[in-house]
Amino acid sequence: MRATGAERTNKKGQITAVEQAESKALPAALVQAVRAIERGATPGMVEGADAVPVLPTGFAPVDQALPHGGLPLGALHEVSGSGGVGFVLHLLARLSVSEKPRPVLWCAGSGSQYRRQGVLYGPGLTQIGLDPSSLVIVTPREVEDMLWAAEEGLKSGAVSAVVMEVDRPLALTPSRRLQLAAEIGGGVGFALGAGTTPSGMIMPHAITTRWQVDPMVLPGSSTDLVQGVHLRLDRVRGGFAGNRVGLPQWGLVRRINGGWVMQGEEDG
Amino acid sequence: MAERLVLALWFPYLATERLERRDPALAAKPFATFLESRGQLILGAVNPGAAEAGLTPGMTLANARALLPDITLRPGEPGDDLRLLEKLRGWSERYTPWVALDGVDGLFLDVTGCAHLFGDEATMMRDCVERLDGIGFTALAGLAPTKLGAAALARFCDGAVPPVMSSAHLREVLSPLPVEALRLTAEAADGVHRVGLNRIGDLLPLPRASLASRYGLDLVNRLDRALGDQADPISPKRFTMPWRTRLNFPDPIGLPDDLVAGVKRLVARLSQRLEREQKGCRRLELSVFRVDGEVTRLSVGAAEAVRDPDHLARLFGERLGSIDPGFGIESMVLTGIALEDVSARQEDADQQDDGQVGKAAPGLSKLTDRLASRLGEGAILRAEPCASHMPERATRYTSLYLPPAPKGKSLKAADREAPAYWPDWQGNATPRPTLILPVPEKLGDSVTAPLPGARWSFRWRGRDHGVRRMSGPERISPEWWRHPPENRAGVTVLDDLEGQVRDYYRVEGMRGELYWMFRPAIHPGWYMHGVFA
Repeated sequence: MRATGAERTNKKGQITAVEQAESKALPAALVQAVRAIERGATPGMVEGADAVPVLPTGFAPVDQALPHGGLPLGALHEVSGSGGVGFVLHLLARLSVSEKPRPVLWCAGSGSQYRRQGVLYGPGLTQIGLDPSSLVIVTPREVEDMLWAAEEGLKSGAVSAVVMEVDRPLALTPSRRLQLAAEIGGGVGFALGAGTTPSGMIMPHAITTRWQVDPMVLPGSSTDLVQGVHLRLDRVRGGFAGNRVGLPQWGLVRRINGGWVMQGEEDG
Repeated sequence: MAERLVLALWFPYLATERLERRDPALAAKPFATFLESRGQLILGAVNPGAAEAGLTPGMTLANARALLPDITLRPGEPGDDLRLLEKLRGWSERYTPWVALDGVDGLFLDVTGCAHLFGDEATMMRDCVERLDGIGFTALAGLAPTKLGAAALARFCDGAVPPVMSSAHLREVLSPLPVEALRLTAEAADGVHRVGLNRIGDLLPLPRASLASRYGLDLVNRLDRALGDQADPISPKRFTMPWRTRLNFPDPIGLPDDLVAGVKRLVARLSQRLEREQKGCRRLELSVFRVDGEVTRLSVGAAEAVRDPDHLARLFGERLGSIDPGFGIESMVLTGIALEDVSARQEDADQQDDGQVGKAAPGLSKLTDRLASRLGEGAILRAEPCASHMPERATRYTSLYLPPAPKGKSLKAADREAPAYWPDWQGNATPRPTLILPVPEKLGDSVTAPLPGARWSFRWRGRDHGVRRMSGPERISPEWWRHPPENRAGVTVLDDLEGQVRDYYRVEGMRGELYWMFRPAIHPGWYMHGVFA
């Protein structure tokens, strides 16, 4: 009890110090503290909690729109649109170079829209910088089995990322379970191809970010080795960084035998 | 102390009886097996019918045919005969745990102190011979205080001598037998015959020193061993304990929690033994015995050999729920299968892996084992590179639970198209799609190659796609050494296309989506093969 009291004062003192030094940082620090307490961390842990582990997307403007300067790890993200696979593969490739490489669990949905487009192709993956041998692919027959496998994968901490091919948005309960599993294991989860409900209504769920990725025509590009991608950030838990009107969206260019860049930088 | 007693069994027709058991018709006629020896064919074993006609093992096949033109012959397999004898050794453990092989056609059973279980010695001997006769083997038995003595009685007295219980009596019984019964070397036997010593009894009164100096120490030693003056122990085969633990319940159990607790106990026991003997197992089988006699078996596998009790218990995890306890479970047996040597490992060193699925990462194998126990081993896949020009062959998905294809070049590896590594495609000017259709799909409404600037569209899966632009072609030819498959039943489009030279194009749709499609050089039409997703 005594120790906890001491930590409390310590925390208070720390926030005051932060306030004096940098008044703008205060709201963020407070949000951090509250979030950490929500997660059941001891108040003394607040100090370390401001370093939310993130995966920078590699596109400066996109990272700036995200609260922590990147895609939070230990969280669940939803990616929709027919360019979604490519975007997720790009992020996985970045993940595999940014940290100590760990395998990736890919939960293939039977009959999902990506399954219908084909299976992951090794030479294509190596071209975007992802080692195919780091993939573990599971092919469950039922959606429940797939969600279970994804949850086990996220919880285990043995994989750096779990990708699940879903065909409709996750309901509140599964998304909450998966989000919690990701927080436990520290891996990042991608729900691929969720789209919107038939009515177009966005269901309440516990997903951290939601992306819409579509192919885009690149006007007047000189080489045919590039592909335009339109990226839209539909939702971020905790709000977009900075004030903005409308959803943030970007044009990206994918060099089809190499990496991704922002539109306008493809020649550089 | 009572004297040691050895029961010797001799199977004079082991090799022929092995074949006769499979094909009873053989027993009725003269029949022999043949072997190849020093460039000629000789008889290996003969059955009683052939022996009557004067055939003996070792005779050349030509001589045998001259004696008995209509003899039935089969190739002999000495290895199988030995394996059969090994099985008979196991069978005869019903009499004593101390059993050893006697050459290729006999057994020694140390039955000291065992006979009373079957009545007396004579009853046991009769029981043994009758039982063997019942399963189709002619056996001659001899029972004596020494191995050589018993074997001599079995082989040189037609097994008709009643049990010999004491060394003094054995001396009497052996005396009239020929000296060959001592299993002398050929020269020693020749030597003693030359001076008229034909029976064992002739050797007994002679001074041993002169016997040894004339015919070698071996003869004296054998004499001593036959008469029991020198020790001649039987070394039985070492008993290997099965990797099995059993749990009996005083009252039948039925609650799922009890089942889990039971498995935990079994696993803990097995794991202790695995730990002690530095082993791990890749497969476990749980047999659950219900009170009504039903037996349920659960078999689970692990991606690598494990012995951690938690991990072993977790393998069953989900599947235990599928056991129907019925009126209750009275016992469970856990068997470890597919054992491998596993040296001690510090479990905390889990993090030292480098992300390769093939290299065992303990944390990962725990996860995949858990997934496999619910989804099946066939549902956990890894991508394997394959050295092939044909795009649809270049990546192959195999179960994580199958051993990885061997690296490097061997004839076998070439057969399996084994791969070796993922070629470095990065930055390559010939892009490959990220998603590929395992079987290329024919496009409808396909027209000839578009003229530059002309509008072109294709129909794929019931939808029209406009083409904004296309680039290519990249010509991919099949391997010349791969023959197109012969006309198999159910030839698919792919089979039809296999062996075709293809021209691949990247085709950009009106919305910016990018496809990978090809046109076979000979076949008309276009095929969709992949998507740059």
